[in-house]
Amino acid sequence: MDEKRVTGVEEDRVDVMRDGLSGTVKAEFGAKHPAQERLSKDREQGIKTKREMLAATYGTYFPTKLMIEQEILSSFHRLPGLESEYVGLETLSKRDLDIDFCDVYGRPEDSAEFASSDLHHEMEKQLKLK
Amino acid sequence: MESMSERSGGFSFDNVARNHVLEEKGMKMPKAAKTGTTIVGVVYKDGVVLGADTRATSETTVFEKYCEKIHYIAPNIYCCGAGTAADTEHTTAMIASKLELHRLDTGRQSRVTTCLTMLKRHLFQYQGHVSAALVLGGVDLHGPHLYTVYPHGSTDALPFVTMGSGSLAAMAVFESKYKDDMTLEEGKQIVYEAISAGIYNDMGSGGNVNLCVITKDKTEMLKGYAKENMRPWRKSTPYTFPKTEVLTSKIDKPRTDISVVVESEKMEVSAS
Repeated sequence: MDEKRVTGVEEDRVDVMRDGLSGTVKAEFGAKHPAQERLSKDREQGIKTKREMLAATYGTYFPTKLMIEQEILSSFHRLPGLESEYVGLETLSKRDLDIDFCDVYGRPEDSAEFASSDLHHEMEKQLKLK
Repeated sequence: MESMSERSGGFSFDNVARNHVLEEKGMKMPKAAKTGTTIVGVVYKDGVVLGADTRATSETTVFEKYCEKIHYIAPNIYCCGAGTAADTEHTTAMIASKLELHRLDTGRQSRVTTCLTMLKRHLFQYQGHVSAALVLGGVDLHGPHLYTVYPHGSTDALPFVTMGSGSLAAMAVFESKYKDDMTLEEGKQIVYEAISAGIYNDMGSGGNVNLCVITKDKTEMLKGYAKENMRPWRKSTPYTFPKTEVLTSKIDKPRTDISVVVESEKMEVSAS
């Protein structure tokens, strides 16, 4: 049997006991709220539109440069399982000048899954030791 | 990477799948309660007059007689809300916060169009599930502005607008009595008459008439401008609630009084 495929399957397996049902077949194909799909689509489209707008105004280099800067700034974070502050990234994207429902409701840092996740398990997952 | 720069979170859709299953099994899902309101706005010579009734209803029950429906957005912008009370309250509060941050960043007075764009984007994103029908009014460097915002995110810009279940009654008053370049008194009178028409002809509207006058330099809230639904009579001997007897009372004070001492020390200006 193809060894690579087997490890691929191993990696894809979701730890339901720890991560909940998200990412499983049940969660993927269950009923969705009409606004839910729209929201995620809007988010993607918004990023794309903004990038195109910047490219049209300043040239293609500008959004590319911005993306590189964002990539760099988002790479500085705390260990998994701890809340990270992306001050540079937030300044760059002007998120520090905005407040939305996302800042109050359903923050990933406030979720039960986040609170119960332990550092060792998260590191094992990230370094693919398991 | 993009997912990291975009905020996740927001409204939770965790129970959607569960609710769907329950509904398939024959459970009757609760529907959003019917709401009712009259809110209006008119542009006059020097600014904008907004008006609202004060009744909050759920289906056929009056839940609140003195509900405040004119919400603060910015010192020069106010917004009347119809629809689900929580949605109007929190949508306007969020936009107010956004504009406050924007003002701190730019150091300029907020523009009404900025607010309008924020509102319609937010509402369109949620496809009408955030049930807020708004009348947005304000005065900025471009003069007075008046808009209506529908729950799905569409907007109108007109010299006189009405919203809510009593909007038809109120619009009838505007269509027959509106004229361009009205004085403040005429503006207040026509808004009062429009809200009053809503209060008397629409079951979902009632209570008092609240007005908000926005001009270039100042904003004035006139709560209880007219009291249309006062009680005709009161019981001469009102019911007195029995009082619970206080058995013991003890107040703990801090051992020493804490006082704040202000030290006046010169600040070091330069380190030459």
